[in-house]
Formats: sequence, structure tokens, C-alpha cells
Amino acid sequence: MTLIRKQLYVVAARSFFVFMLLLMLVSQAGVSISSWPGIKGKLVPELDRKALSISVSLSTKIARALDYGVPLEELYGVEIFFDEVLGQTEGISYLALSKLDGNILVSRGIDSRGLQQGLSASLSEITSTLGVPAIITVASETGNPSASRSYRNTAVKVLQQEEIDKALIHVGFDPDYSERKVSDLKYDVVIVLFASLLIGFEILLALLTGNFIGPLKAAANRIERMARGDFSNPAKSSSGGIAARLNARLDRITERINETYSSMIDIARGLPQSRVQSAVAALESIGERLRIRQEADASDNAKDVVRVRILTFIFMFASMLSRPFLPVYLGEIADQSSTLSPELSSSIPITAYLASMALCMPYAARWSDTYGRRNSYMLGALLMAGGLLGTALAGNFWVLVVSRVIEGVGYALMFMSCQGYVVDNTNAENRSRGIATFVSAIMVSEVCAPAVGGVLADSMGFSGVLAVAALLSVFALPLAWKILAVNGNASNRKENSKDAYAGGTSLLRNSRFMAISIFAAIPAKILLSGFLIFLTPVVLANFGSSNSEIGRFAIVYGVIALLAMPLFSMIGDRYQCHFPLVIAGGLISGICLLPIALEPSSRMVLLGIVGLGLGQAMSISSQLTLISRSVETINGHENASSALGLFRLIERIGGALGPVIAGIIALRMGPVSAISILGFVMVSSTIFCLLITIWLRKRDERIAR
Amino acid sequence: MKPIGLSLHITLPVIAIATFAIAFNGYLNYAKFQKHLIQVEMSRMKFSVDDIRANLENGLRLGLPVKAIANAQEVITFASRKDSSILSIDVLDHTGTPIFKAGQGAGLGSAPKNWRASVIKKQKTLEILAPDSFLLVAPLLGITEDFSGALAVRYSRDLHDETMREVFKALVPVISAAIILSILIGAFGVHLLVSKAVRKIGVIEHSLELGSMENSDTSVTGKADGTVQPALAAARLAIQEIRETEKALVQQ
Repeated sequence: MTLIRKQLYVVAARSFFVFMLLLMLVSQAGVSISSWPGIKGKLVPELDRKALSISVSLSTKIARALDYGVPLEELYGVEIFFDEVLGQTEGISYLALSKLDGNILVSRGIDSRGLQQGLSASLSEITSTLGVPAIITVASETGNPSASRSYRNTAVKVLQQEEIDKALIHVGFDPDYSERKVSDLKYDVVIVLFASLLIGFEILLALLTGNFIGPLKAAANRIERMARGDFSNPAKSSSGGIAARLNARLDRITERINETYSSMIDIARGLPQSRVQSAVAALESIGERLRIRQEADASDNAKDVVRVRILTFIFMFASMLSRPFLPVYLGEIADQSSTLSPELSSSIPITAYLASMALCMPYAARWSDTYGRRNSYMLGALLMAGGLLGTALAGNFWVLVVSRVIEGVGYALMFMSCQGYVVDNTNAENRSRGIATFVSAIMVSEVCAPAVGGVLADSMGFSGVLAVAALLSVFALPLAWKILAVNGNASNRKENSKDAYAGGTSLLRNSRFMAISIFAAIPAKILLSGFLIFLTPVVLANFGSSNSEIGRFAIVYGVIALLAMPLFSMIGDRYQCHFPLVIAGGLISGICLLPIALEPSSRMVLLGIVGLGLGQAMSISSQLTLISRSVETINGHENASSALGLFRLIERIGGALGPVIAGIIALRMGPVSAISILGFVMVSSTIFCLLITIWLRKRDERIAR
Repeated sequence: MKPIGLSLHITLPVIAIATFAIAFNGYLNYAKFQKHLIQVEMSRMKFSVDDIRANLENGLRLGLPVKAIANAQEVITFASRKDSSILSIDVLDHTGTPIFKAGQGAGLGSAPKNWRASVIKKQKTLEILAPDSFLLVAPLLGITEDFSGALAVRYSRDLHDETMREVFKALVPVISAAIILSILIGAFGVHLLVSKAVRKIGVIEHSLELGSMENSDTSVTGKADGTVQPALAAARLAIQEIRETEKALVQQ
């Protein structure tokens, strides 16, 4: 980082980010912290009403038994009855039947000795406020006073023949219950806070890049060029904005040099004919060296790829908002209108989406090259909005499938337009950095969109979230109009993209390429879409998780991938251990899915997600490196980028197959078993990949000898 | 662009984002609380509905059709009198026709059209928060656990609405204060940062002015900001080189 950059924009931009993020953090935390205590208190009266309803109902039932003449002490089955009630009603800590003097006859859900002490100590208060909760303190079983807990005890009388007081029914609520309910809210608020900070960061980055960082970075580039003795002119010097005066100053310096140079040319032209040639040579040498009256390099005039980050972020965010609930939602619609089984019905629309996306990518790339980034992005945004809206409003299974296909096509167009923009505005030296910028926008949306989607779905319903996603896609239209406005069509890439799959047949005969594609990449994508996108929401919903909780689970994958991917990428490059990383990644992601067969629980789903995140972080970039290498070493004439294009297509087909495969297994064996089976398949195929690669290596060594 | 223009350019979206985030946070607090409140309310109502249902099913389990349950009217009338929040109770036969009724009101009016299919399919209580009431529709199961009818109980949502109004009233001042403070602090902070940045840029601009080729006095350019010194030195050198070449050409 040069001093001029620091002075001009880096320090200021950092200050903007810190200020903005702090402002959002403090204001939102302030709202939550100051409103939680009040909100929490509002639940308590309703809990008391519930306790009263239960106690009155129990009292009526026991009174009926007493009316039949059964003595209070000989009532049979009260324990079982209380257990049933406790099992059915959330939030109740205990139920007890006591005599009028407070001596407990039956109690469930709590240590009876502790409760007895508590009731005895507060009996006068309890009996004087029947039907109204009284706070009682119950000592712990160990007798440790610090471990004693307070309960809201609601008591009502049991009347025999509707007039004789015979007993008391006690219903105890743990006051911490409302605390626990509100803590669920706290998780959501923290998730939303985290997501809003990321979204705020993206928006501010886009804003500052356009108005502040971009123009000043261009000016800094120019000052640095001048310091190197390069006085070329930028293709278009900004006439307005923050750097206008700075550019004007720089223009004057360049003009002065140009004028001096021009006057020298005039002098040269006036020289005798015999001296003109040598004078011109001297002039050209200086002009060439100082790059006077020349246009700056294309790379200097390239747009900042950061500008496309916000567009990438928006469409990825829109497409991922529905991730935590999509299979459940699709299942609900399919349930009403499809003749297929629910498992298959909900997986088919997901597969339709992924398949249309995968198959459209090559055409979308070509279309974007030919008709321009802006046109293709905007068409993609419209298609995506239409697809999302169709998904939100669809009441019929086949309308749903068509809507998903349309959304997939839209996604492909938007993805390829953004990727194309990055390629247009980078060269061999900075393309990796440009792609990293693009990928990081994808990862940020991967982290926050499912979590926000889950929270929103809990409050506005599935269709509401899909409508919000559609609105977001539409919101991208004016942004794309502005950001992609001056970006020309990369017509020269039309031919390149045509060639991209030309070498496909010979690549398909490349054993190493095929081994990695079939036994590492395809299973990994099947696992990603089959487990994370399809089975996780279904299984967690079956376990009783709310949409917010499912969203929180989904966020884990994004966070792990975001943090671990650069780390494993660096390890792979430094120690040249790409193949071991692919194998280790495959094994880890597969093995972590196996334990759920023994203990079907949310915890095991989480383990699977963590394993998948780590495994994918290990293998994704290493797979790409291995593919490039296998093509370069074996098929030296092949274009590495065409190999990567074909590889992407193959793995995306794997991604499209994932939900259908998972759906078919879930149909036969249930969704939990399907997770373990997918894990087993992943482990097996990874071992197979290892064996094949070892065999190929030995074969090559034999041939070499 | 003047500092004030740039400030506005950055401040407006910053404030919009911060305001949206605060409002969303407030909405989330409200919506989530409502969700939890409804859960607790529904679980209380469901407990009562299950009580009534159990009484009615005693008759059905003897093999009687709904209309033949002798004590049905008595059960629902007693239940509606006992709980003042119950607006109406309807006992329906397997076709969905109301047979017994207690209380006043719309009955199943606010139930979705497919309520019967839904109750039959899921065999569990349908819980609906209608604009005017809570409606719970429970299946009544007969002797062979088949669908023999349904019990529809409508509860008043006055208490619910009152609680939600109180929550809204509690949240509005907090959110409003947070938004107003964010706007003020945001606008002031961004303006300060922009002014500082513009001042720094101004220093560099000034240095380029001093060092521009109209003034080749190094004692003046020497005062220029250090960050642009190399560029200015290179420019001076270029001019010098061109002039020297010019001189050489003329002398030849």
C-alpha cells in the first residue's frame, strides 16, 4: 500500500466502514437491550392464564372422581394422568395434588420433598390467592440453598359435589421459561444484526467505490504512473466528483509536458532535411519512454471489479433467502397437487432449478458475451424475479417446477454476467484477485441470506420471503443499469466461449480429469445440494426446529467455508498437497454424516454441516488446481480454462442430481437414513478416487520407465 | 464534488441502511414476540379444546354419530360459560354440517375452505389466527379412530391484541429514538469524515498546484506534500529532459 493511496482514500474509507458498522451495531444493540425486559414481562400474564386453565381442568377431572365416591388418598392413575398433561403442555414445570393443609399426595416433574417445603412455607399466601400465582421457592434435591429455584405456583381447590373443599391442585411454571422464549429472540436478533452489518458493509462498499474510492484510486494510479515517468493520459478523466480538482491538476501537468514536447516537435520540423531523421528518432525515443500523448494501458482504465460485488451479492442473497425452508415449502405445495410422493415432489423443483442453472451456464456465458453484461444481467434479474414470484404464488406442482426452471435460467444469466464483468476488467495479473472479490460476495450472501430468510419466514411466511427475494431481484435492475452501463460487450470472448467446450471430447478421455470429476467433484456436489439444501431443512423441520433455527444451521456452512477456504487454499499452495486435501475433504464431509444413523438429532445434523463445510473448504480450490494440472500435464495442447468450464458443468450436473438422489433414498429409507447413506457414498467414492489416482500414477511411472 | 454534496451522497444511504436495520430489528422483536405469545395462547386454548373434545369423544367411542351424542349441547354450553374468552363452539358432523352450537358469532366463518380436508388428513387440531378471533378446529374421532366430526372453538383475541398494542407502544419510542439518534450521529459523523478526507485531498491538490510546471522553483515545490513529491520530481525531470533535447537540437 503506497503512501499516496493511504493519504487519498484508504484511511478515510476505513474510517467510513468503522463508523458505519459501529453506528449500526450500537443502535441495534440499544434497541434490543432496552426492549427485551419489557417484552419478556408481557409473556408472563399469558403463562399465568395457561396455568389457571390447566389447574381448573385438572381440578374438574379429579372432582369428578371424588364425586363417584373415590377417597382422595386412593385416587388411582393420577401420576400417569399428570405425566400425560406434562408431556402435552410446554412450559409447565410441575403438577401436584395436595391436601388442603398443603401435604402433597401426588407430584410430577419436580422433587416432591423440595416442593413440599416450598408449599408449606408459602401455604398461607397460596390459599389466600387461589387462582392467582404465588412465588414459591423450591430447594434442590441436594439441599444446596444456592441451587434452589423459584416457581410461579397457581393453585385451585378441588371441590366434591361442587361445594366441599377437598384438595388443592398446583401448577408450577418456571419463571425462566419466558426468559428461554426470549433468548430464542436474542439469537434471531444477533443473527439479523450480524447479517445487517454484512449487508451494510456491502452497500457501503458499493457506495464508496462509486463515489469515493474509485475516482481517488484512479487518481492515485495516475500519480504513481507519473512517479514512474509514465505521462500517458487516462482514457477518460473524470470531470466531476471527489477527484475532479485533483484530476484537473494532473491534467495540467500532463498538458504542460505535452506542450513542451509539441514545441520540440515543431522545432524538429523546422530543422534542415538532413537532420530531421535523427531529430525525429530522438523525439520518438523520449516520447516512447515517457509515454507522452499515449493512452494509458487498458488495465489502468479498467473498471474496479468491486463495483460488481453488490450486484453479485444481491442476486445471490435473493436466491439463497429461501434455502432454510424451500424443501418444506415445496413439499407443502407438492402435497396438495402432485401425485408423486412428498419426498420426490419436493426434490424435483430443486433439481429442476439446479439443472436449468447448470445447463444454461454455457449459453448464458455466450449470451452475455454477445449482448453485453448489462443486458444479460437485467434479463436474468427479471427472469429470477418472475421465477421467485411464481414459486411464491404457485398453487400447482407443475407451475412450481416451471417457476424454478425460470429462476435457474435467471440465476445463470446473472452469474455469468457478473463473472464476465470481472473477466472483462482484469488481466492475467489481477484476475485471481478479481475472482476472489466476486467469490467473497457469494460467500457473504451464503452466510447471511439463509439466516435472514429463516427469521423472515417465521414472521412473514414462506411466500412472503419469496416475494421479498423477487423484490430484491427487481431492485438490482437500476443498479445494474448504472454499474454495468459503460461496460462494453466482450465480443472477442464470443469465440473463446465457443471454444470453451470444443475440447470436451478429448477431456472426457483424460483419466485424471474424469477420476476427479466423477469420484470427487460430483459426489461433493451431490452432498452439498442433497444434504445441505434438501435434507437438512426437511430433517430439522421433522425434529421440530423453527425456520429461524434451520437458518442458523445453514449459516454454519457459510461461516466455516468463508473462514476455512482461504486457509486450506494457502496450505494447498504452500505444501503442494492438493490431492491429499481433496481426499481428506471428501472423507471428512462423508464421515461426519454417518453418526446421525446412530443418534438422529439436530446435533448430528450440525456435525454433518460442520464436516461438509470443512470438507468443501479443503477440496473445492484443490480440485480446481488438480483439474488445471491434469489437463496441462497430460493434454498439453488443451486449454486449461476449457477444462475448468467442462469441470464446472459436470459438477453442477452433480449438484442438480443431489436433491433427486436424496429424495429417492429418503422415500425408501427416510430422510435421516438418507443423510447417512449419502455420507457412505461420499466416503466410498473418495476411497475409489484415491485408488484410481494411485493406479494411474503407477501406470504413468511404468510407461515413463 | 463539494464536501456537502459528497456528505449527502454517503449520508443518505448510510442513514437509510441504519434506519432500515433498526426498523427491521424492531419488527423482528415485535413479530417474534407475537409468535411466542400465539404459541402460549394456542397451547392454552388447545388444552381446553382437548378437554371438550375428550368429553364429546366418550360418546363417539360408543359408536354413536355426532348428532346422537346426548350430552354434547350441555358440554359445550358449560365450556363456553366457564371461559369468558370463548366466543362460540360448534360441533360438526363428518360432512362439516354444524349440529350443536354454543355462544355467538361466525362459527367456522374464518376457517380456510379446505379446513375439513386438512383436519382429516393431519388428524390434529387446526390452529388459525383469524383477523377477528383465534379458531381451533379439532377432529372428533370415532370408535375406529376415523374422522366422525369436528369441534370448532372460537376464542376472542381482544387480550392478544391488547398485549400486542402494549408491546408496540413500548417499542415505538425506543425505535424512534434510535432512528433519530442514528440520523443525527450518522449525518454529523459522515460529514466530519468527509470534511477530513476532503481536507487531506485538498492538501495533495494544493501540492500539485504548487509543484505544477508553471512554477519550477524547487524551494516552492519542496514544500509539497511528500506523497506527490516523486510524481512532481518525475514531471520536472521530463520537462528538463525535453528542454535539454530541444537545446541540443537547436545547437546542432
